[in-house]
Amino acid sequence: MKSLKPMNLKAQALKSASGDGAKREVVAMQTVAGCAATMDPGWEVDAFGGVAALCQPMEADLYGCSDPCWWPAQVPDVMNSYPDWDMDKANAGADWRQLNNVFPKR
Amino acid sequence: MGKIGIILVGAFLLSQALLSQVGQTEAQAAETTEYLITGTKPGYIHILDMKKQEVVRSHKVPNAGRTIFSMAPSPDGKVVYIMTNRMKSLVGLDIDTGEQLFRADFIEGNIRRQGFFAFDVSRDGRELYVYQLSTEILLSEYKQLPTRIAVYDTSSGLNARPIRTFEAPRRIHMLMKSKDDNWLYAMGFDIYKMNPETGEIVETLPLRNWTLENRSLPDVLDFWPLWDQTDIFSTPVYSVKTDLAADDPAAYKTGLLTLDLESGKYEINDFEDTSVLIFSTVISPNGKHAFGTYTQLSKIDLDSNRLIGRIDQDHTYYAVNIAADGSQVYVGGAACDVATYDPETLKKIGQIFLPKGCGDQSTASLRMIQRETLK
Repeated sequence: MKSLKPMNLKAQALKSASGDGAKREVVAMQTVAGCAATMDPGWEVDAFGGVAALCQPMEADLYGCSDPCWWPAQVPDVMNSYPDWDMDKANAGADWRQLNNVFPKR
Repeated sequence: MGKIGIILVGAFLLSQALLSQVGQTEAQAAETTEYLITGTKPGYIHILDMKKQEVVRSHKVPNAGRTIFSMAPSPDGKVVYIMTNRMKSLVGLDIDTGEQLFRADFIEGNIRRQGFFAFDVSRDGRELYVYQLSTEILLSEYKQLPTRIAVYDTSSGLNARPIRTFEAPRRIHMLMKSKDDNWLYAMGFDIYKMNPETGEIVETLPLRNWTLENRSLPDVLDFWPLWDQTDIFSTPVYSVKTDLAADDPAAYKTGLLTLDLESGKYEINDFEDTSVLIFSTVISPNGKHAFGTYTQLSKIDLDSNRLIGRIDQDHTYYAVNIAADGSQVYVGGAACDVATYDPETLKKIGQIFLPKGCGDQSTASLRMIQRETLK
């Protein structure tokens, strides 16, 4: 390990775990769990192949779908990774412009 | 008057005063009012007197993570239990004062544990049943642990730990206690009738495993506990008749699933060719009709299993409930208002915008309680 330098988070975790006996917890592959456990198309198309049966207006549905992680690909994982995405934005209809993109934490 | 006489007169006067007080207390206790409970961001619950069309209490839920999900009132209507904190906590709040009386935080060390809407309180008010998903967070791996139902004692206070747990099937999204308290119904792919002491599944009511001929698998989405007035759980069920052409509108069916939490009677009946979506339904107290909500409010006749009324609403509402006397239908659980409809004409007769910033209801339950009138 002396001549190896960790280049990513996984390698860093492996290096830091090697000293405290937790090395076996670092495995090559991992299962993504949490918000991504549910996956619905959402937002794009309704059950009839159109858009008329989507929630009206979209803002009435925004938190209803993001809070239980219905749209993990379209909105942040507020269940675990970005629980403060809606902070100070209680009303989706009034505050939707302030709901911003998020970026992976380093 | 001698000493004994004075004591006797005193005792008499005291007993009359006590009787009078008891009489007054009984009169006060007899005064009850029906209330609707909902919740909004950033972590409030609201108690509404729908006949007066006013909000009578708003309480901030401690450490709510700004989310109010499913709710269940205690049988006496004094406490409301709330799935909150991104579904990682269950909180019991005094409806009158807002005091936190019960709290179970699910996370334990490196075990990230959370619910997914499904919980219920026993009919004697002593136990809470919560479906939980547990993930062990290792250094670079998430290890999925068995899904389970945890049972809590409602008198456990603010650091509640389960008094027993048992494994449960995956994908449970509704828990319902039978009216006699003997059974726990868990809805997932099918509906499992469980022994609430051991978790033993004694009967499976078929849903995904239904045996209808020439029929697709059913499609169901429900996490709204709305059986307060009838003890009948109901939910829309969507399916496709596979013996009809794919472009035939009659191939697409909307049905109503009902489970009577008193008798155990379980039925699924189609009532229309699918033309709109319905998210949740409620059965009228006289058992003759069901009302369903999404972007439209629908009325279904349960004798003929036919759609008999439908109107467009101002916007999408996820949850529908009804007054105990059947005189008003309420929709809410999305955006920041609760609307009232006449069940006969389906005309809107009221709308309450919720206080504390008109926060979004997200997916909050709409529960109805009958309790001592809040002063």
